[in-house]
Amino acid sequence: MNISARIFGRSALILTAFALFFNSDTFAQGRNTARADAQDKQASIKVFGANDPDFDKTTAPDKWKDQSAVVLCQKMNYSYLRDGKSIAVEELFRRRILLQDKAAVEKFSTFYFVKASSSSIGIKIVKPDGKEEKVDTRDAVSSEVEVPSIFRSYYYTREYKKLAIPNLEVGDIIDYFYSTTDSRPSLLSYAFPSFHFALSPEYPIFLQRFDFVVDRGFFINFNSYNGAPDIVEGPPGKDAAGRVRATIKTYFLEDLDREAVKDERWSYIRPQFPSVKFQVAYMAGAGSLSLLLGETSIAKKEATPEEISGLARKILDNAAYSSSELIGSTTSYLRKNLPNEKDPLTVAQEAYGHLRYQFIERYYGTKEGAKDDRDDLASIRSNVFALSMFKVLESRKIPARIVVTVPRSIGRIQDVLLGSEIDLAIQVDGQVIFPFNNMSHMDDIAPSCQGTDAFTFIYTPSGRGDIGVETITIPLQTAETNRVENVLKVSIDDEMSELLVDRQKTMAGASRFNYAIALRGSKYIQDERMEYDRRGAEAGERGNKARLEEEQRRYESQLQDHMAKRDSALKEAMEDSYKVGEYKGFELLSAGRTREEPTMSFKDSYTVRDLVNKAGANYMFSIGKLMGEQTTIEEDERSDRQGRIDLPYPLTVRSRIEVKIPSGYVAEGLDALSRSVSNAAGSLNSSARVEDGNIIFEVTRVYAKASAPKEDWSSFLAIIDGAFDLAEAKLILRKQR
Amino acid sequence: MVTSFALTKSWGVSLRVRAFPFVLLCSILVAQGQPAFKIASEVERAKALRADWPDASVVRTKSTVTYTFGKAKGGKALVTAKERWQESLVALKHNTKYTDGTGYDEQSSVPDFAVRDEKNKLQFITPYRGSYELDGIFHSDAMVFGYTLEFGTEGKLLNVDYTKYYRDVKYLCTVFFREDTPILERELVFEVPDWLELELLEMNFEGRPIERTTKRNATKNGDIITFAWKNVEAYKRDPMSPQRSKNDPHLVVLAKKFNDAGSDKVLFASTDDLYAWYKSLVDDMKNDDAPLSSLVTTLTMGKTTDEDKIEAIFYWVQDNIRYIAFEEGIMGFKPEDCQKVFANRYGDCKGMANLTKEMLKLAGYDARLTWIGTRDIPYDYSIPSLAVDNHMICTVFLGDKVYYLDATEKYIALDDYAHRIQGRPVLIEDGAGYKLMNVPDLEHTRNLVERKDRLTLEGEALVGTSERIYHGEGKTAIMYALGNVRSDERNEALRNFLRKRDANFVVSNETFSDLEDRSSPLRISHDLVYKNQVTKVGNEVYINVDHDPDLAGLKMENSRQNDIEFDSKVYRRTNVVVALPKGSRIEHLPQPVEVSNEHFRVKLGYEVKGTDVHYSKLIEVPNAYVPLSVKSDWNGTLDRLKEFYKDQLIITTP
Repeated sequence: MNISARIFGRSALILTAFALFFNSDTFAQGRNTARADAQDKQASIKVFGANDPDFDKTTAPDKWKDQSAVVLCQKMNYSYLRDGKSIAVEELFRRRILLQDKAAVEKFSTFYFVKASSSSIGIKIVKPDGKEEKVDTRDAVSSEVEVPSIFRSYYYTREYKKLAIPNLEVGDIIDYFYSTTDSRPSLLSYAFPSFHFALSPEYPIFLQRFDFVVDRGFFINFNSYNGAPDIVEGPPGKDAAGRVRATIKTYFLEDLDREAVKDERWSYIRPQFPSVKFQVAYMAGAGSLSLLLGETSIAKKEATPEEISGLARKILDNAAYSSSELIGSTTSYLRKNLPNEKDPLTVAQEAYGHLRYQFIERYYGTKEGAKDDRDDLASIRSNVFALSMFKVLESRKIPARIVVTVPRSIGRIQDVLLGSEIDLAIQVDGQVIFPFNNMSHMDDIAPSCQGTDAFTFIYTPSGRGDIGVETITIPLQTAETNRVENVLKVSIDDEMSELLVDRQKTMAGASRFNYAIALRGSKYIQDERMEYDRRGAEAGERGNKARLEEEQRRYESQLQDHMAKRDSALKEAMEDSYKVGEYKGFELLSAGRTREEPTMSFKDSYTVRDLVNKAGANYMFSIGKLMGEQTTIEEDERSDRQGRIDLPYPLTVRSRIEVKIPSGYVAEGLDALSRSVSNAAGSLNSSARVEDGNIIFEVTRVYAKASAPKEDWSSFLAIIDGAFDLAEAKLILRKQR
Repeated sequence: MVTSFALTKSWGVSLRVRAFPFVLLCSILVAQGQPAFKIASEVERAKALRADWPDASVVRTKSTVTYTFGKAKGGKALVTAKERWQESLVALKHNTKYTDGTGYDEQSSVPDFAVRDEKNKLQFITPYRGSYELDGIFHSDAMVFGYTLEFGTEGKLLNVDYTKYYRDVKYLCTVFFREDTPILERELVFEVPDWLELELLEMNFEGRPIERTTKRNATKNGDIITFAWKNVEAYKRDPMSPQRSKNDPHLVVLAKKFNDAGSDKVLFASTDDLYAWYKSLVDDMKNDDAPLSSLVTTLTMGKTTDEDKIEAIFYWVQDNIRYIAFEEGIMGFKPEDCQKVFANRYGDCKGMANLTKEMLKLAGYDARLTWIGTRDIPYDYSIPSLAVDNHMICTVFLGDKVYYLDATEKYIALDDYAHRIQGRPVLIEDGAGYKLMNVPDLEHTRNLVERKDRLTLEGEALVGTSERIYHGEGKTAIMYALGNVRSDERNEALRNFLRKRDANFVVSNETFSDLEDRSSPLRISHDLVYKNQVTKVGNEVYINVDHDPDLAGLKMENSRQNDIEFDSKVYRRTNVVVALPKGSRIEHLPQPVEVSNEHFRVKLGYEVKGTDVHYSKLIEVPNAYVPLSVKSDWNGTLDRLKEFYKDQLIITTP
């Protein structure tokens, strides 16, 4: 298993493309060398010359002597000031890091930094004897490769340079900073990128500090979570001319002695480890940015349910343009096809279906497989969905509420501070309906939100009336909701070398979205078109017969390619477990795209090699491998679990494997296929028997909860290890005498 | 924010999907045009080509590359070259996109490019030009020129025409015949003027139907030499393929001299000329050894033998100079000054060779810069071309002994040579002249990897101890890899290496010899539990002794075009002793396998000694190379190996 939580691994910095204020270099012609050198020199004097005693440290605490590197100090300063008719924004980042082994030297000997006309860079090396060597950055060259995370800038992310750092050795300290400045007319409003990142770093940090200077007119959302130090207001700040102004507020967060966090499988970092969120905006008069606004220059740390719902309201406002055509078309469809229907859920279901059809047609075109660059699973943006549904239902006078949710991977709704944390859904007649993808139906619950609190409100455009916020809880899913069932009918060829397998696979709940590719070849888009736009579909069939035939022939050829990729993907999905020879006979039995037919099911046939092997006079049959790929847990993952266990959803995997025993053989060793584990994490049960000349091997794995405390890790291991061992189990096929 | 049900990889099955923002849909929709209605002949053409090339999505029906030559302007004693590509490509499937291009650098350019359809209508395709990061090179002048053809309908033909200009013909070194698509007619045409002496060496032509014709070009006073090959199969790089130049047909272009205003001007007519150019670059260095002297004194202080002193200097460069290469312009050929490499503590092979040489000279040794082509290169110094070498080392003459020092090779001992330079010809500076010698070609026994396990049965597991001894290439590779792993992750990395990430294989209590000691073999010992290897059925016990099916996965597929080349010569010996439970009886031992020929040797078998079963395995690939010509023997042996590995040791217990 490899669950998406792993992408939020150590020192995860999540950027949201909200407003790219800092990408002012898009049209720049590159740094003017002389000017850039002077700029760097000036900045170096300012930063290194400030003699900040926090950056004097030269040794790491003894407890970190075995670490690859230790950050002795790092500081991030953000300044947002008004300066006449413009606003000035400055970012200064400085880090001092002790390199304690060759790997660290190797990593920092190729040094990356942002390349922008308004940026400055300064690097010095501090040798173990205290001697400082300034690094000449003029030899830096453009970099085309992916920049390692430790060098990535917070605001600028576009272009980087790389520099070979000379004379770097184990025991050296590399002390560097980069700064960026930008100036914009104060007549406009700007929302700067929002950040939410864990304080847990790649290397341990002795001291880290964030400083914010915020002038009037700027709004700052800034808070710390899960044991991160509090944000503190400092003394009044200075304006551009260096004068102290009471209207300029300062804030800081200082964090000491931060251990590196182990990168763990199935763990959402941000909701459970110390983290920080912030976003800054500048408002020129009445603006419409999708932000939580507090008081100008006062750090806003928390928001009420009404404020969070107000933020959602603004996000909905922003979807008005994208949604208008969808709303108009679906409203018109309902008027024609369901003129007298009053039942809220019936109308909601038709609205959902028609909106989904419009989305599919816009994304995939009118024929399934006609565009080869489309993902097999595509989701609508949640604000477009929620607004469209709300407006369509409103036109039918059906009451509905907007639902504001926060995915489990991000945190709790009560802690929302940034627009990027929110997802939207809709509630009709008590049922929460989540944004669709091309294969979901109205009863699907987004697994990312299950069991979380959510706010609901009645939408009116911002500033128009009370919205009546309420709190609800999104229902928890059961493991049975998300179940996978495999039925394999297996025979062994006459040479006792290959298995011939007929499989039927059925998936319910969220598990079916992993198999969106199985829709290929079903022509479900054409079917939908006949349902929702029969006239359009039939019009497309009229015209020059030769042309139509040629178009159809060409389309069928594309579709063949499309399906060939499906078959090869389905084959590849099995090849982590065993070698598949020929793959054929795919047939979609049920698409799982409607409430009436909610499970996806398909069947296929394939041959498997290398699972039956001669062992002396008999054959050894690795029957367990037919269970498919099993999770393997590395030794270093087994102990000292630090974080909760977060799975995408609870899951049941049920397999029934029927193997026809070859004539003249008996199967022995079936006892090895019996397991029974039941604990806090779930269960594993298996059995094997012989019935009518067939081995019947049945296995059920249940991961009962999507989220569990770290204390349950050993229970998870018992199930995972048990399933792994079961997959390794072998039978003997003994020749009868 | 997009609400997505999409999960990257869940529950062991990866069918990756991704959400797509709704707002982009309209623009995407507008961008999709309906393909034009297609003429029947294109359908027929695609059908016919598919019949011959069922696996191809694009076929070149005609591909001609024409080389013409000129004299450089401005009185420079240089010859320029133009390489004009004229190709007709046909798509065999609808909506085919095909990307191709070429590389260029400071010495070349690709200014002209046009694509036309069959009606000669110009197609609006903008080629991509951008810098290209070469693997392992920090910065270079390498650029890439690329273009993408979008055919739309099957059978559509597009004509591509572009020209690459070489400012100096010495950078036009090799020309290959094959492309990544089949070619119905391939022609390489050289229009050689009478004023130019050009030799074209035919490499790997054996058994290929390539026709060479020469005809007079009276209007241009020269010859036209044409190489033609019909129905050329697409070139494919197989796993473990050697470098393409080793077995793929190609030409080596040798522009030897030219006549300018009545006088002959030499280009690279012989190795003398190649060396003269190299020497001119070396003479242009401004080495200053003063900053090195105190270090050299420190390093050699107290050392009594020459070998110890040379070793101290060689190892210091290995350990302290990081490999960071700037291959820009002439710096691709000219070594960096020694004092700069020393101050930077980084450099490329030339810089490290130069620093090693200067330090050794300071210590009083006869050290010299040495050009070498690694084993990837199939040529020797009888060919005066820049294609002959790609690396620089330092050679030390010490009495009758010669040491070849390659400081880019970390953790290598003095008098030991990495596989990649073994047996290779070298060109060693020798004042105005040069010496041609060869790096010793070491026996494959240098790379011995030895493993000795003692195991007993515990439930469904084999449990015991393991001792491993690595020599040669394996030793340096492990030392280098572990030396560069974060110290807090080193043990985990070592365990993963020992287990080969097999979840059944648990390693503990590992100990290893000094990771800095280059002169002794690397010894690693550990305890092991090998789970799920014992299957009990009644009183019968099936035991899988060997968890490492060496070579078994390297079968040559039918579609393979290339020989197999290993990273280094192979010599592996494994001995496992399994102590059987008291009173048990052996029911079955897998049949031994023994095959031996000049390319490989395998010997595997079991032997009963008292109450123990001894398993031994010997694997040798002495040349690190298995030619495609022995495919049948190789595959047959691998089939037997596979059967052997799958078979079980079977005993009965009381």
